[in-house]
Amino acid sequence: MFGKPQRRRDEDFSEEIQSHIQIEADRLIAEEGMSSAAALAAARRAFGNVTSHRERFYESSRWMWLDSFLRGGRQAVRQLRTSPATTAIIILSLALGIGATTAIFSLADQAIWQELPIAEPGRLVQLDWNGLYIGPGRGWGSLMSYELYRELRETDGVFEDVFARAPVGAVLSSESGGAEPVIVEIVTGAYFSTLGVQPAVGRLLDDSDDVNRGGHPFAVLSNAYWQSRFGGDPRVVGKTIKINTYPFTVIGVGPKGFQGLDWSGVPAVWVPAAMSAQADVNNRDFFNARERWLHIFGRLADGVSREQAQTRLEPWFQAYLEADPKREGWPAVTPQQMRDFKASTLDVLPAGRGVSLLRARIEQPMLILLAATGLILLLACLNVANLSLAKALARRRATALRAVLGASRRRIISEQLIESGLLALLGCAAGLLLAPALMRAVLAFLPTLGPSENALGADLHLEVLAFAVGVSALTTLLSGVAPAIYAASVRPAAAIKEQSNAVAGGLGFRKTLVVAQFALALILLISAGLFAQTLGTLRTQGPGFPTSNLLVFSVEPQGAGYSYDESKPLIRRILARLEALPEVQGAAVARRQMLTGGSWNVQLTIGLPQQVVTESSIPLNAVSPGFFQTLGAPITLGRDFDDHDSRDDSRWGLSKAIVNQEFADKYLGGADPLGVRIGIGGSPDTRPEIEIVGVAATFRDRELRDPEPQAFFPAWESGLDGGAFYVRTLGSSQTAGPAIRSAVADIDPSLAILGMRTVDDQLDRLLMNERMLATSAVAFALVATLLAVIGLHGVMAFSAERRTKEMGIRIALGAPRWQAGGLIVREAVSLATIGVAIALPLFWALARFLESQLFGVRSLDAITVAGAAVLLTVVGLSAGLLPARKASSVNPLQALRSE
Amino acid sequence: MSTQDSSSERIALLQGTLDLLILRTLIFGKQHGQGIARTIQQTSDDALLVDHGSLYPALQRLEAKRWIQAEWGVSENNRKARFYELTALGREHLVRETNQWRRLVEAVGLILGPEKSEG
Repeated sequence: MFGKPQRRRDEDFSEEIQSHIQIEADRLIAEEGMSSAAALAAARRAFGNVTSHRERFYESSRWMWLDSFLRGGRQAVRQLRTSPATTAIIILSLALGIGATTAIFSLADQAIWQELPIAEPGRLVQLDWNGLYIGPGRGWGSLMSYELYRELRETDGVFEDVFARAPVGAVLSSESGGAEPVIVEIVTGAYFSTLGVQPAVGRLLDDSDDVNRGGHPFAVLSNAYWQSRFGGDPRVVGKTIKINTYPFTVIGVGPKGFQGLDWSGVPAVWVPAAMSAQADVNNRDFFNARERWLHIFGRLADGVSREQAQTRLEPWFQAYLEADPKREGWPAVTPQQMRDFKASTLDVLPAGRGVSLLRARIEQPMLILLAATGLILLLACLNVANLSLAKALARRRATALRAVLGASRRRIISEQLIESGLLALLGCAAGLLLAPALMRAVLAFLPTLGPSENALGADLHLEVLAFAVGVSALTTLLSGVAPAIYAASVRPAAAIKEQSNAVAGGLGFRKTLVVAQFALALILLISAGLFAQTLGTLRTQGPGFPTSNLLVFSVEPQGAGYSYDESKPLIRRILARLEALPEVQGAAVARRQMLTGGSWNVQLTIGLPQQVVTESSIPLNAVSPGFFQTLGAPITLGRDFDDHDSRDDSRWGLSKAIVNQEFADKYLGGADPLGVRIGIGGSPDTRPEIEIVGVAATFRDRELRDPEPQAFFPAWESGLDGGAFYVRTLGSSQTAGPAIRSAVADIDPSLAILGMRTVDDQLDRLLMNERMLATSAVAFALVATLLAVIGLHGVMAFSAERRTKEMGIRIALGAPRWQAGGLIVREAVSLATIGVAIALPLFWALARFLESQLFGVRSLDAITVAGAAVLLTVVGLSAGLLPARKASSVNPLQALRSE
Repeated sequence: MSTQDSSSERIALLQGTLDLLILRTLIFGKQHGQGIARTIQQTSDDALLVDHGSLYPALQRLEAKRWIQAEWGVSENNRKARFYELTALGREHLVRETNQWRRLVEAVGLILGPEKSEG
């Protein structure tokens, strides 16, 4: 075995066999006097099956495995080339199934399930106020006051430590770069130590940096920001950066990969809570006992479960609830509000995944998308199975023939294995290439919140990739090899003789696959229809005012060093400058940007003869005169604000309001809205003193779905420390952009223009979920339908061919040709219909899952469901047409003679 | 698949014995495949059947073990043929195996008893 591998070529071996037969024939002629032909025949007979011997010789060769592999590879490539369309479709199906599943799952994993890169994320918890909180709030999620944090930190035996954090937008500048908007995470001293993260450079903030208010101008840079702005230079420690023009000293850099607690709002820099007044332009009293603005997190003490923590905090929290109303600044509340307040509980929630505003918004759409990609993977596998089976069955007689001619069973099976393996390999490779591209495509749908990039990357989730690749490869191998095993083991003579009957078994299975494909395609088609209608309705309905040629951008004067008092005059100067531009048709400013999904909500008290408090918070805004005209939303009653609706030193507070039609209809009944007075707030001591001077047509402000009652106040009467400018341009808004920028720069070049975009673009961002779902659902549905058609066409073509003889007989007996074709079409349609019939109850069961993402259409919308079902049936019919035409054009004589 | 008639008086070869017989045949000099088969059949008075399907793999196997070697030559009828020849290693193996075979036959004979004489 260890000698030099003297390979004998099999030609050499055939020659030896030929010589053996010749010598034997010579002997027979000489010894038994046979004729040379008879002798040769006898010698051959005596030798037996030459091919089989040659085969066995071949297999005894020690390099056989490699050689047969190479031969198998060549054979496989040959086979794949003979049916390029099938090969391409199989590879594409695999690529799509693997690519889509991996991409969507990888994203969903990052967005929904991934834990923070911190020590023992399972022990990190967040505290959530469950009940009625009394006091103003700022931010999103489970907001808490600084007072609550301070007292919580003094509790014993529950937490190892506790910290609070709040993200704020700010303008960051340094010697090396100009001003840019970033997210600053304001954190209390124990933030880094509680999370258990280590600095990459320098040191991190600790409790000693969070003692005296305004006394610790220290900042820690995020690793990503350090890399992108400072090129990863460790000498950054000790340098000065300016946050909203206030100088901070960089003391260190966070660890690589650590991006704070929110992947949708990644901070560039961390500053201590003691510096929140300096870091936040809004300059509020964050340490006030009432105002809630913080997220509170804790690391559970060793051996304490969440449930235990919640129970142990109970007495402390009850005491807090008792003490709070006795504190300074407690407002007058109704007995009901007091009862609700006292009934509040403090929940301890798992927080290993951090917090994320965007996560809550995209979780449901992501899961729907994930389910859809699961269907696509399944569909791709069905398709691959169907096509591989078709190929194997079509090749079955050839395989049997090869078996008769002496090819060993092992050889036949291993060749098929190599062919299927090659297909699987190509498909998986294509899937690997496709997955990152798909991921980037889906990522493009997700907006960034505020100035930060989101932290989602196009990194593939390896386990899922392995799963998708495994499932696909297994399907390909099984569906390719199983028929080959069967074909190779059946008695060859029978396989060659048999025509339709034995093959029909495989055909039945393929029909089942096609039915399943149609069922899946229907589910995806209906979903696509629903999501497309939702997006279409929202887009055409729009916000209720024309969005073309309308630009929006924000300015925050305090970020450029203006004081609160200087801000409003600056904004008025900018507005006057903009209105004077020749490119501008109209301009206005609003305190709060619209169509961002967020809002400024407060309960209102309405001073009808009897005082009424709105049952829910009303979205408010403060707008400049001409705002409604700039938007193109008419004032239907009363008047717009004018420059007299302005606050000067002698007067205080708001005096005028405009409400929308929805507000008038809902809260004012039939009464004349003009002259009705309202007050901001819902407590008994709220006095309605603000006069309604006008009613505006209702438009969507917060989001596009349902109209909300709304109230507007004059911008010049309100505190205005920043604003969103709305500019209606003459002609394209693209050309007006630079003019607007230079106009603002003329006033002050250090003023940053934040997020300038068209309102159309703003709508797209607002509709990201709807667009993501509609686009992917339509794409998936098209692919699914295409795959189903390919599958059905293949089965019908095969079935028609098998029935050629039957068709011939029918036609010969006088059946009209269309009737022969009709049989095939009828079968195609019935397969499609069975698929549709199976899918309908399935979809009915799934429908509730979709409901929350729909608008203007019900999940069981009859027209959509019927439309999709009819479409698929028609598609099924068309898949049967081509094979049917072939079947009906058969020449009866030829058909009968064939086979 | 082989087409030899399997008449009852012919004895199918035991596994492994074919190797021994081939080596034994080659002790008289070079021989080609057909010659080896023919010799075995003739020497055993046609009692042993050499399945050609086993012969060539066996030759291949022996060649791989370097007990025999082969080269192309010309037969007595001027046919091109592959001639096999015993190597020194093969000769050694043959002696060892022959002794073992004899001992085995004796032992089996003792058990089976003497009642049937050789014919």
